[in-house]
Amino acid sequence: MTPASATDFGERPGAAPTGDADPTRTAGPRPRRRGPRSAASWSRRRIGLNLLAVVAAIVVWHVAALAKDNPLVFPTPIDSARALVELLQDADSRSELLITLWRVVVGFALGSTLGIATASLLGSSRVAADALEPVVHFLRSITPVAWIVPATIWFGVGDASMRFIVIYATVFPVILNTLTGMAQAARNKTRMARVFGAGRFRTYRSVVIPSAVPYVLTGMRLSLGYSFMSVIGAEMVAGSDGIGYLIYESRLFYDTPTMFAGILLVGAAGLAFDRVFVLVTARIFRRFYCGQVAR
Amino acid sequence: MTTTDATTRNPAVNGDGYVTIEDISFAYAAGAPRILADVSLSLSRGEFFVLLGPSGCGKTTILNQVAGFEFPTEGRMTVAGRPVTGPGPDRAVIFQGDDSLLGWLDVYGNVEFGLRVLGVKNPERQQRVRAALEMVELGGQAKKYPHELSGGMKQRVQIARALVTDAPILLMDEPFGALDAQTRTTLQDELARIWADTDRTVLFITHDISEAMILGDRIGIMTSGPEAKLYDVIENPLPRPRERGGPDFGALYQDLERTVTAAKARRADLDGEVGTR
Repeated sequence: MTPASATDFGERPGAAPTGDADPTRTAGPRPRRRGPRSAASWSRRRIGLNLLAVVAAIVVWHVAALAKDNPLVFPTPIDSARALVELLQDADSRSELLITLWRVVVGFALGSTLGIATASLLGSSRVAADALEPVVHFLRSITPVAWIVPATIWFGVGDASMRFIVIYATVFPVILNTLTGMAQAARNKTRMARVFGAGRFRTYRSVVIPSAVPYVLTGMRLSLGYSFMSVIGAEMVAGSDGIGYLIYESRLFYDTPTMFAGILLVGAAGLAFDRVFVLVTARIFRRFYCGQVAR
Repeated sequence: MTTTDATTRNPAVNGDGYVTIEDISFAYAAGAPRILADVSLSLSRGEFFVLLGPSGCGKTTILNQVAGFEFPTEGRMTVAGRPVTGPGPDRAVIFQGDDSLLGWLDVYGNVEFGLRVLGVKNPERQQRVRAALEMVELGGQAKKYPHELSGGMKQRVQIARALVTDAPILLMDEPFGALDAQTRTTLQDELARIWADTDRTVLFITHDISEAMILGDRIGIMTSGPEAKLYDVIENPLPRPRERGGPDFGALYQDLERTVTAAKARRADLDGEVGTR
C-alpha cells in the first residue's frame, strides 16, 4: 500500500474526466507549473492591448474635439491633460481627491458589510426572504441619485448624506450576488454536511457561505464601481468638497478642461480601485475559486 | 402490509433486518406518478448489497431515503431498529459525481470535515484522517485541492471521508459512474478490499452488471421506472477476492443479464396496468 500507487492505473493526476475548466492545470500535478504561454506573457499581451485601446480612444477624442473647435464646450485631451496636471500639482485639489476616495472606501465597506449581513439573513430564513425580496428589488431599481435630496433633508448637507448614498449604491449588488452564491451551493455539499450531523448554522458557515465567496466578491466589485458613480452625484448636490463638487464648481467658471480633468480622475481612480480589489481578493480568497481564475 | 408483490419473484426479505425497507412507495407530489411502488428489502449487518437497475428506475431515491434526505410517501424504513428521521453519522454517503467535495479545502481538510463537525479533537482527529487517507492510498496527496485531482482520486477522497467517521453503514450512489473503465475497475477492487478489511454494511447503487458482480454479496435487480419495483434478489456465489473473466464470472454475468432484461420487460408488460391503477 504505497501512496504512489494511486497514480499507477491510468489515473493521471489532473486528467479529470469531469473536465475542470483551467487548461493550464492539466500540465502536471503541481498547479504552479505553467505551459509556454505563461501568466507573464499573457499579461504583457493584455497590457499591450489595453494601451492600444487607450491610445485609440484618445485619438478619437482629439479628432472630435478639433472638429468641434470650441474648448469651452469640448476640450481636447491635451487641454484636459494640462488641467489634470494642474489639479494634481495643487495640494487642495489633491485633498479633494482623497476626500472623495475616503467616502468611497467608507461607504463601500459599510455597504458591503450591510449587504452580506442582509443576504445572510434572507438566505437563511425562508420567511425573511419571501417577505423582503420584493422590497429589495423595489429599492434597488431606484437610482441612488434620487435619494440625494431626501437624504439632505434627513441627514443634512454633508458627509452623513453622502455616506448614505454610497451605502445605498453598494448594498444591493452585494445582497443579490450573495443570495445567488448561497443558492448555488451544491445540494450534495449541504447533504454531506448534514450526514455528519451539521446543523443549519454549521452547514451555513462551513458550506453555504464558502461556496458563495466568489459571488460575494463579484457583487462587491460591481458595488465598488457604483460607489464611484454615486459619490460624485452626492458631492454635487449634498457636498461642499470632493471631486464631484470640484467638477460641479468648474461650471461656474466655464472651466471645461478642469471638469474633464475631474472626470478623468474619477475614472482613473475607479479603474485603479477595481484592479487592486481584484488582485487582492483573488489572492486572499484564492482557494474559494477552486481552480478558476478570478480576473 | 407484508403482501408479496406480484412482480417480485423473490420477496427478498431475507436479510437480518439491520436495514429494513418495508413496502415503500415514493411520489414527488400527491397524485403524481409513483417513482417507486411497494419496494421491500432487508439488509444484513456487514453485507455488501448492490442495487442494480436501469437509470431513472429510482435506485437513487431508495438510497436517498435510507440516507434520510428524502422520505417515502408510503411504507417505512428502519436502520438498526430505529425509523429513519433524517441524515445521520451512522450512514455515511458517497455521492454520485464530485460536487460534494469542498473545493476550498484540501484533501486533508475534506476528509477531516466530518470529524470536526462531530467534535473529534486532535491528535485523535489527525491520526484518523491519516489512517483513512492511507486506506484509500492518498497518503501523499493530503495537501492537494480537489480541482487538482483526477476523477478517480476525488472518489477516493469521498471514500476516505466516509470511512474516517467509522459509520457502520456506507451508502454509495454510483460512485464510479463518471470514471473511465480502467480507473473504475481499480477502484472496484480497492473498495472490495477496504470493505473486507473493515466491518461495514454497504448499499451500493449501480447500473453496471460486472460492477455489481465484483462487489455485491447480494444483488437486487430493479424494474424500470416509473412505479419501479424490486424484481429479484440474487445471491452472489463468486468467492472473494473476485476476478473478472473466468467461466463462473461469465455464467453469472449471463444470468444477471437475462434477469435484468426480464426486469425491464416486466416493466413493459405492466404498462397497460399502470394507467388503471
